[in-house]
Amino acid sequence: MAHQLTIAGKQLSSRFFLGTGRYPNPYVQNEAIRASEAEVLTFAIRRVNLETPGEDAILQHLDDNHSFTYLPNTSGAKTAEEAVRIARLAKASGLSDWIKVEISADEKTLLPDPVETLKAAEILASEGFTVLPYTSDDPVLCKRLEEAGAAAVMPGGSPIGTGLGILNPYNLSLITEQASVPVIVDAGLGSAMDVTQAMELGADGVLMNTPVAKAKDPVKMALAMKHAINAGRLSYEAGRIPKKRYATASSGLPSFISY
Amino acid sequence: MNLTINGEQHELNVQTVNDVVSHFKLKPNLIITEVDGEIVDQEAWNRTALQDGSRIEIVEFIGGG
Repeated sequence: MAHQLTIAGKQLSSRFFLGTGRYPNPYVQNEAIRASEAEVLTFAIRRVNLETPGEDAILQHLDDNHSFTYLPNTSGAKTAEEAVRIARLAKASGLSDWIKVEISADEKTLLPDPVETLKAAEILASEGFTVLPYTSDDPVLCKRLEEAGAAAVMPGGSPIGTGLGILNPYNLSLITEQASVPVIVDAGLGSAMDVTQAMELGADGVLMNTPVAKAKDPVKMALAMKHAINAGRLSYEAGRIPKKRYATASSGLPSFISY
Repeated sequence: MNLTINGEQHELNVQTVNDVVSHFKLKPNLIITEVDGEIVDQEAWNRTALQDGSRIEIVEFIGGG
């Protein structure tokens, strides 16, 4: 068994954080959530459509019998001020005081704005939120976020929804090496291979949405990702062999049978 | 009275936040409200009187990553 992950004093049953957007329908979504065994679920906050109220509301579609940890995000925010406002609305729901700070200034890449993200993390941490910022994979910034009071840092592997995987494994390994809060790789992962790589680089967990929701079979992919997380984490904890240039025989050489 | 709700103009015969929630047949447990920049908790909906020109935001959780 891999060690358990604890964030802000809460012991989590899974290292898989799963998003709730873009599934074909609520039934498939719930089946995927079940297969993933994820405990932490993410959401967005938007204005209610007054013409068709309730249609998009996510909470009514979730399985009541399961206790989740809710991680609302501040997506749509372009500034720290907007993110703080969204975070306060999310907290007012009474559902959770966890918040994923997500501030994107550029619609094409959706890359996080580092300056605004740091500002928002500082404010929200001082207001008592459990702050999990989505950030660029910059080791210095991740350290600054930690010092600002982030309960975990969530560097992106590559831009949201691209499935490009981990573009800078070196940076990610520096982040996990230095961090004294959990590191959750958020965004850009595409397949089980990417997830295993993230975990082997020392990530404490991964957050995914599109690669599961938009897979041909989201339920099967949720299961694949769950196994990839476990495999990667176990491999990390077990400690891989060093890479070398030339072969070493598995059975040793002295006892060869020769003619 | 004239209200701006989620950025749209509405002329409604209402007095409190609760009246607005009922008018649009919103499910109370699925929404969060803000009046003129201040969050109004569900238990305060009944006693939160609206003014002509009040700006109301009504938001909900939707799917996201």
